[in-house]
Parts: sequence; structure tokens; C-alpha cells
Amino acid sequence: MKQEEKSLKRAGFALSPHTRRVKLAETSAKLALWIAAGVTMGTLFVIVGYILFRGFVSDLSIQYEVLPEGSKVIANEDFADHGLLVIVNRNIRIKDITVLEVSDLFSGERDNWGGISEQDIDVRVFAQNGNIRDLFERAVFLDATHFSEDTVFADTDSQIIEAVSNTSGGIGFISEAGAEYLNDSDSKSIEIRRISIAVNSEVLQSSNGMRIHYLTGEQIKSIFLGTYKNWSELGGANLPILTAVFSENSLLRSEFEEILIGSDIRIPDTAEVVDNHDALAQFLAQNPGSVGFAYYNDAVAHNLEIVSIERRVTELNLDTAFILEEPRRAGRVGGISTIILNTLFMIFLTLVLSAPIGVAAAVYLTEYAQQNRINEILRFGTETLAGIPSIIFGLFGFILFVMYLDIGAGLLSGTLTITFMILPTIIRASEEAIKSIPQSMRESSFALGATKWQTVTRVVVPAAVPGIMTGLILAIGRAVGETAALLFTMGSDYRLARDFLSSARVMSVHLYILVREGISFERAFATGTILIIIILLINFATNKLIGRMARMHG
Amino acid sequence: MKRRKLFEGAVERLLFVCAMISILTIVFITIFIFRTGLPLFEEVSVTEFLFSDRWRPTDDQNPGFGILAFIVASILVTIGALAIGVPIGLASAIHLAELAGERSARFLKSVVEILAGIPSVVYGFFGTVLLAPINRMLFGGTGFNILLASVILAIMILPTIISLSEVSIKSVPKELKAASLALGASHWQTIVRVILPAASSGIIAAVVLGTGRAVGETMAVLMVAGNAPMMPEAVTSMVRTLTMSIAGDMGYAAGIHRTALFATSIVLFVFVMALNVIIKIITWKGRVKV
Repeated sequence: MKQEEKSLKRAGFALSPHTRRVKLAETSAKLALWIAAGVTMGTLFVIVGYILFRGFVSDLSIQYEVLPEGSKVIANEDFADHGLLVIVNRNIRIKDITVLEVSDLFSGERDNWGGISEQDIDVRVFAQNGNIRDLFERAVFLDATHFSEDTVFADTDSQIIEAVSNTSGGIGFISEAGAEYLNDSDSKSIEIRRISIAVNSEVLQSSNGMRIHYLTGEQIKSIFLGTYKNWSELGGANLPILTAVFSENSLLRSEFEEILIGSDIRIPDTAEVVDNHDALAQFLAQNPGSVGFAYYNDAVAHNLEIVSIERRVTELNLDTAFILEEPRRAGRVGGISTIILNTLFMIFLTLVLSAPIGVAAAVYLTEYAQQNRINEILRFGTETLAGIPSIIFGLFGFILFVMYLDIGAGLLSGTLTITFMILPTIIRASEEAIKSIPQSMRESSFALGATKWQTVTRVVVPAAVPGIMTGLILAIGRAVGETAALLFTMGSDYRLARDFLSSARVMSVHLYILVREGISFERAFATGTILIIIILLINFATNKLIGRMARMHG
Repeated sequence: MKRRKLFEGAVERLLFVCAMISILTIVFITIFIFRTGLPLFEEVSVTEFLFSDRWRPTDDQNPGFGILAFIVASILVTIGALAIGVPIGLASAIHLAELAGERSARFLKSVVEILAGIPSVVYGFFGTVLLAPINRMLFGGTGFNILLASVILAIMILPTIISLSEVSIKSVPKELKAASLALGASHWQTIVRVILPAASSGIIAAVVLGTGRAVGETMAVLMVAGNAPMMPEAVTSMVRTLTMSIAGDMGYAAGIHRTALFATSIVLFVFVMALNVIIKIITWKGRVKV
């Protein structure tokens, strides 16, 4: 076509304006169709891509009152000869911890690791007597804080290490010198984050709608290196930035530089040098726009204004622990193993119930039924059933099982409800599969003297198995994703279902509850990811089966 | 021989019972829903139920059971979904049936299948976490409103519209297309003037089926439509649809409040059944299989 046009053009013929108009309309219309198809595909990619990405990578922004990093050794000017290490049992999944959290753990404010390491493990605290106890109390506790009544005291590093190693959820502290004993124990030392950024109170006040909400580690580094001169550059009020630092030989200064600045860069001399927290407090109070760093508990003791610091935590969201661990505390911590198992139970039971009935119905419709009014009605029934919204099925199940039969919302009620719902899918797919079996196969079977039932069970249905499987897999897909029909028939207990009547939460319901109650979007993403992966696998499997069927029947 | 005949007869009857289950389920659903919902009208008049927008089911002194706002919300959200979903879906179907090469057609079909398989909670969640903030930035408010619900529903009805339209476009006899092309019509002219009119009954059935999907969809809408039981005023209003009202309140409703929810489901059920009958009539007239 194109070639002809070109040769026509070369020969001096021009396209008429009408032809050109038609051609233009043709091209633009096809472009529009192409764009629409692109939108459809793009929509799927955005949805699947976004959920999978957030499902695997959690990128949390959490604000703390201390720097995002810390050091393992806690030291203090008053105890210059020794430092201490905080150790925890290896089963606690943390690398670092804020000093406030340490204080809360030892004072009994927190008795569970849930809010810190996302593990539902009780906290057991071990403390050491002597000099090291004084250092701990000075460096970690606020004024009125003291050890909880449940604290177990010991006298030596090795005793503490042994106790923490043998206790799930154990935490304790040892002297710096005791670190060598840690290597072959079940304890590990963790980083303590305890440096805060304190500012003059005007910095945090809003002016003309501009206000500092929080700073990032990178911004703090730039502030102290003198890159920023005014708080307005950081989205705050129009105030000059005045930095205050501790003198170069102080422990706090070296820890701060080690964490944030690095050894090769130096804090410029323009910064005000202070000798202690009192001097810092005075400087911050007197100079608008001033900023300095201090240990968190000293900053609190001196009533300093502390800036929130953002820490971004990027980690694997959907990990093996999420799949294998039991959910606890409404799904806030732990995984979803029991919920996955409940889902599998439901699918298995649903298939056991619906596959025989569905295939039998399809066999009747294709092999036995005459083309008459009854058959017509049966077919209309299947089609209509497929069009009934799942919430109606849910209400039907609720009335039948919960209100009339009074077996409560549980595995059995939910499964039966779903069975009614997915029957049309199975019937239709099986019908198509059975119809596609060539008539000659049936005739040869009859010719060999087989009865109708023998022909159906030994010839027709076996040949239609791939098609029937496709229907079953599609039905699984529907059952896995179903929520509305299960909300009031299946219950929402996230523990493992003990029997057919116990309330059981499945993945889709779990996802809904996580979002509705605002429990955790991260966990909702991970759950959604599992659901989407199942759907992708189902799509893959059905395509394979359909491909096989096409080859089988030429 | 006699025994075998008896057996064959018994088997046939058993299979017939299995085949009856679908229709029996529909009958039972109808009976149960009506029996549980109708008692509401002993206390509330049908006109008040359908034409009042005062929904105060838990008010002891002066309860109100008007679902007009929910009906209107359901209709608006569905119209929005159709307005967005039908053009895109139909265009994709035409592309799929008439223009796409074999490989890209197979790919697009997989896309449609996966879209159909994604659970509605995942659509709702997607709307909550990604589209609602965008919506909030563009139109203010909470971001959960008719517009967002329409967009999510449009995505959800795309597979229905695309696959059914594609089937009916493909089932247009080759001769019609060939005759049109032979008369000198361009491909696009053939599509618009010959193929689409010939496939229209199937396409209309697809749209009606999509409507049923949109009206009956619960979880996704529940998560993105805002759930405010008031008469919608604009496309940026937060609304509560019929399905949302049922799913949202069922968990705690008791007594007449619960009965009112079942009565609400009667309205939904009647509407969906009416759509089913319409499809039946269309496909029967056009003799197109859905």
C-alpha cells in the first residue's frame, strides 16, 4: 500500500483532499484506540507495580528526638575511665535503640518488645551493680527514673551476658571491657542513639506560615558545617543560624563528629564553643536562631527545645518472617502465617464442595439435558448467579447460617457461602471444556458398548480435565480475593481455625481490617503483595492449561 | 441390564439436582432476603424508605430509615464509572479485536485477565494509598469521594467490558467486514459503520453487565467513597452507596436497623436482577452469547 502510494506520488498523482481527510481520520482514530489499550495496560502496571514495590520495600519515615545513628559505647565525662555496652538476646531483631527506649525498658515503662523490634516478646531486664550502675543511671535515666521492680541484678559482666543469653527478650548492660565475652554468647551489643539537637525556642515557632517540622541527618550535618546560614533555607523562620559546639576534647563532641561529620571534615571555628550543658542552655536561650547538640537526657534535664529528626528506614517488608510467623496484637506485630493457613483451609474446603457439584451440573447441562425450557432456565440460573454481587451472597450466608441455622460466623459458614458464589465459574468452564470434546469420541465409546455414564466418566470428563482445572483455578482466584461475602460469614479471628465452626480470618479480610482500623499500611502492602502474587500465579497456570488444551485438540 | 438402566436413571437424576443448585440458590437468596427485609415496611412506609434521605437508624426518639441518598450515590458512582470505563474499555476491545498483532493481543488479554483477578480489597487499598492523596491534592477535602470511587470502579469494570465487547466484535461475520472493505471503505469506516453496529447488542450487554458489577461492588467503594450518609452535592462529595451502607453497618446493627439493611439489599437485589433480565433480553434478541 505504502509503496503504491509512493510510486503514484512519483508519477505525479496527488491524493485528493477527501482521501487525505479519510486517511487522517483513520490514523488519529487508530492512535486513540492504541492509547486506550495503553491506558488499560498502564493501569495494571501501576497497580501491580506499586503494590508489589511497597509490599517488598518498606520505606518508613519516623521522627525521633535523637540522631538516626549512635555508638555502641556509652561513656560520660564523669566516668572517664570506663564505658558501658547495652546487650540484648540475639532473638531481638534490632541493631540500634534510642536512649529513651533503653530508659523505658529498664524502668518498666515498656514490658514488651512490640513497639521497638516488632516482636511480641516480653522484656526481661538485667542490671549490674557497682560503678557501672552509676554510669548507666547517669547516662541513660532521666532525673526521676529508676530501675523497675522486675530488674534482676548481678555483679559481673559474665553473669549478665549469661543471663541475657539464656533469656528470650533479655536486655542488660556490661562494661566496655566485657565485650570480649560476647563473641561466643547468644547476646549482642546494640548501638545507643542518644544525641539530640537542641535549638533556641524561636526556631520552632511558626512565622508567616513557615516552620521547621523536623530535620534530616544530612541537614543537621550541613548546619554544623556552615552550609546553611539561615533557617529560612530549611523552610523555617527568617533567623540566622548560630551553632554551638562542645570543645574538641569532649566525649560528646567526638561522638557527634564520629556519627555525623566524619573524621576528615572539621566543624568550622565560627561555632560558639561551650564547655558544659549549662553553658549550652544559656547560649541557646540568649541567641535567637542558635542550635547545638546535647545528650538527650541532659537536654531534657536542662529543658532545652529539641528538634525532631527524621530517620528513613528502608528494609525488606515482605520477608520470610512475615509469612512464617503468627500474627499478634491484631496483626501489629508478627506475620500472617495463621491467616494464610485459614485461607488455604477455606480454598480446600470450597473446592471439595464445589468441584463435584459444579462438574456434575456441567455434565448434566452438556450431556443429558435436552434443549428445552428447563435447560434454558438452568442456564439462565447459572448466568444470573454469576451476576449477583458478593455482598448479597454475604447477606444470604449470614441469614442462612448465622441467623437460621445458628452455627455462627466461621470456617464452615464462610466456605458454604463462597461455594454458592463460585459454582457458576466452575459450571461454565467445565461446560465449555466438555463441549469441546469431539462428538466422535463419544460415538466410539458408545459403539464399543459403553453406557452413557461409562462414556461420561471414562471418556468425556477425563478428556475435559484441563478445561475443568482452568475453571477450578479461576474459582480459587475468586475465592482468595473475596471479602464482602466473608465479612459477616467467616468471622475475623486471626488465630488458626481449630474446627469447622471457629471464626477464621482470611487474607483479603485481614487486608481490609488492617486498612480500616489503620493498624499498619506496611503490613497491608505485604498482604496485598501476597494476594497479587497468587493472582499472577493463577493467571500463569490457566494460560499454561489453556495452551495445553489447544494443543491437545489440535 | 435392568439394574444398569436403573443406575443410569438414578445418575441422571442426581446430576439434574446438581444442575438445579444454581437456580435453587437464586430462589433461596430471593426468599431469604425478602423475608428478612420486608418486615421493615410494617414500621416504615415504602415511600419513606425509598424517597427520604433521612438515615438515623440508631436514633431512639425519632429514627429515620430513608435510603434515597444511598440510591443516588450508587447511581452517581456507577454513572461515573461507566463514563470513564466504557470509552476506554470499548476502545481497548476494538484495538484488541481489530488492530493488535497476535503477540500484543495475547499480552493485552493477559492484562485484562489479571485486572479481572485482582481482589476488590486490593483495588480499594490502591485507591486509598495512591489515588486518594492525588485526589486530595487536586480537589481538596479528604480525597475520598465520588470521583475516586468512579475511577476505581471504572478500572474494575474494564475487564468485563473489554472481554465481552471483544468477543462480540470478533463474532461479527467475516463477510460483513470483507464486503465493506470491498466497497472501498477504509478500515476505520468499516469498524464504525459495519462492525460496531453488528456487534452492538453484545457491546450493550457488556455495558449492562459492567453496570451490575459497579452497582454491586462493595469493598473497593467502601474503602474509597468517603462513607458520609448524606445527599451528594458535587463530584467531590463524600458519599455512601447502597452496598457501603450494608457492609458498613451490618457488623454492629441490630433489630430494626438490621432489618433496614436487609431491606436495602432488596433494592440492590431487584436492581441487579433487573439488569440480568435486560442482558437476557438483549442477548436473546441479538443471539449473542455472553
